[in-house]
Parts: sequence; C-alpha cells; structure tokens
Amino acid sequence: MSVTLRICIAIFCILLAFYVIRLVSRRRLLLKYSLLWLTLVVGLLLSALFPDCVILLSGLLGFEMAANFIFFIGLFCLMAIALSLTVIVSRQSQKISVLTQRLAIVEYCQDKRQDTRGDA
Amino acid sequence: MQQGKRDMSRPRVLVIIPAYNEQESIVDVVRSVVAAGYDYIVVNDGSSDATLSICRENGISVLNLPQNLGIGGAVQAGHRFAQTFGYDIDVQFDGDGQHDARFLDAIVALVESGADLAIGSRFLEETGGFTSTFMRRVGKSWLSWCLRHFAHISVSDPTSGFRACGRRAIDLFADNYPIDYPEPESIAVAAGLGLTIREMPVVMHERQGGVSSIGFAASAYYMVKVTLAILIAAMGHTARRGR
Repeated sequence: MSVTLRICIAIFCILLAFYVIRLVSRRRLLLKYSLLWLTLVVGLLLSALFPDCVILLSGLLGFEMAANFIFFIGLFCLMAIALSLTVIVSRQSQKISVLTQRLAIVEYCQDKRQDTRGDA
Repeated sequence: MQQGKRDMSRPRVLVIIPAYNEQESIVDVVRSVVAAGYDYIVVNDGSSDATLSICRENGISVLNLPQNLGIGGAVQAGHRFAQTFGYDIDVQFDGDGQHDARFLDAIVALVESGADLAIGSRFLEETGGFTSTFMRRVGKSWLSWCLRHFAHISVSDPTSGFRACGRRAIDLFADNYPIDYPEPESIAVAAGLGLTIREMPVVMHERQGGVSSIGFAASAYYMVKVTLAILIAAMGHTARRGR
C-alpha cells in the first residue's frame, strides 16, 4: 500500500469521525448508534496506519490477498449494520402501532366525555 | 349499575368493524349490526375517503386511527378497545358488506359455549353464497394444510375475517396481533397457546364497494409470507413447550 493511499484513507477516516460526532452533537444521530460507526472508523484508521498487522492477520486466517480480507470484513460489518437497522425499524413500527391505537382510544374517551357534557 | 336495563347473566358483546375507505358500505353495515342488537365500534383505519365524516354525520361511534395501520393494526385496536371497556366477547365484522349480521347470534353462541376463538367459515358446508375465485380457494386449501400440519389445528376457512373472540383471545390479540394478512397467522398463534378454536358455517356476500385488500399481484407475496408466519408461529410454540 502506497504512503499516499494510506494518508488519504487516514484523512477520510478522520473526516468521517468528525462528521459522526457532529451529527451526535446536533442530535441527528443517537450516541448509541454512533458508537457502531466510530468503531468502524477506528478499525479502518488502524489498518491504514499499520497495514502490516492487516496483512499478517489475513495471512493467518488463510486469505490469499489482504484486500480480500478487508473486503470481507467490510461487507460483514455493513451486513451486520443493515440487519440491526431492520431490527430497529421493526421495533419502532411496533411502537408506532401501539401509540396510534392508544391515541385513538384516548381520543374516543375524550369525545365521549365532551358529548355527555354537551348533553347536560 | 343499571341492573334493570341489561341482563347481567348475558356476556357483553362488542362488534368490531374495521373500515378502510368504505364510504359506500359503512352506514348499511353499521345499521345491520345495530338492527341485530349489538354494541359496535367502527375502527377507521386512516381512510383517505369520506368514511370518517360519513360516520360522524350519521352518529356512528368511531375509533379513529390517526394514521393507516393496515387491517391487523385496525383489528388489534378493536381488541384493545374491547379489553379497555371490559367486553366479554368481541366479533370482527368487515366494513365492506361481505359479512351478514344474521350470523352474529350463532357465532357469539359458539364462544359462549366454550370456544376462545370462533371462525365463520364459507367452506364448512355447502351454504351457497360467495366463495371467492378458484385461485383464492387453492390458496386457502394450502393454508389449511399448513395449519393442520404445523399448528395441528383443522380450519376450513383460515382467511375468514368473520370471527368472534372470548376473553382469553381478546387478551392475547390485544397484546399480540400480526400486522398484515393477520387471520391465518393469529390462528396458528392461538392454537399454539392452547386456545379452543371452533368453526361454524356462514354465508358471505360479494363486497358492496371499495377494493379488496389483496390484489392479484400481491397474492404470491401473501402466500409466502403467511406460510412463513404459520411456520414461525408453530416453531415458537414448539420452542416454548421444549423449555
């Protein structure tokens, strides 16, 4: 890996980390979800700064090329993130459904009370 | 307590009428239920047509969902309503005019005689009336087969939306009801928890207005999803029993 490429990756990582932190500070991203991305960024940064470790590790695991190892790890992380996102979406849609139903019942009770008051 | 007004030995029954864009049929449906002598609640599932305003104009009680949840969410809202107001039995009765209020007494009686979940079936006997298209009947046979083999329950009309629930089923469905295409899956869940499920023959009509919730293009998705849902519901039951 050329030095230029390593510097580029490192800069990209630092920018991404700053962006994630800014999203959190502007309350557009919850802290608990930011940790996922920050871990990924730190991992990428470390592998750009110390490529020998990555090459050694990929060799130990039996990958023919370090690039394949990185692709594999990247794909795996993205799939894990995508799965966790669908879990979060499912949980939220359940919560929205419960809230909608409860709200409808509360509004019904409120209208009933107003009606009886109106009659009296 | 209005002791004289209501026979206290009789269970309190609520008819749940889910309605999504049923402006043509809803008033007639409600009138038929009222004529049969039952309490009812229309669950307006975020309709985009005049369903809500028509109900308000005609003095129909409406549980108005502020946004569309789908048939499962609407029916679940009805079960929650029945639970909140202490009903003993609730009956799901479509807002599109498919179901016939003549059968309300019989389906309520079936729950009174010990069923937790009573299902009005088009296929139990040759009752005549509307039994849907050939392809739909093939689909229903497949779902019946799945329920018999995986959930160990014999149901001739698994997709019927004409159903009555006793207290146990109301409590179960108020907390836990599938979102879309809910009927077959909820049968599997109820059977897995040991609820008593019975069927009775009913006659259904063709829809008075509106559009069916299941178009032709969605049928394949429907079959795959419901089959998977039955399998998962049955597996969940086995896992619980194994623990």
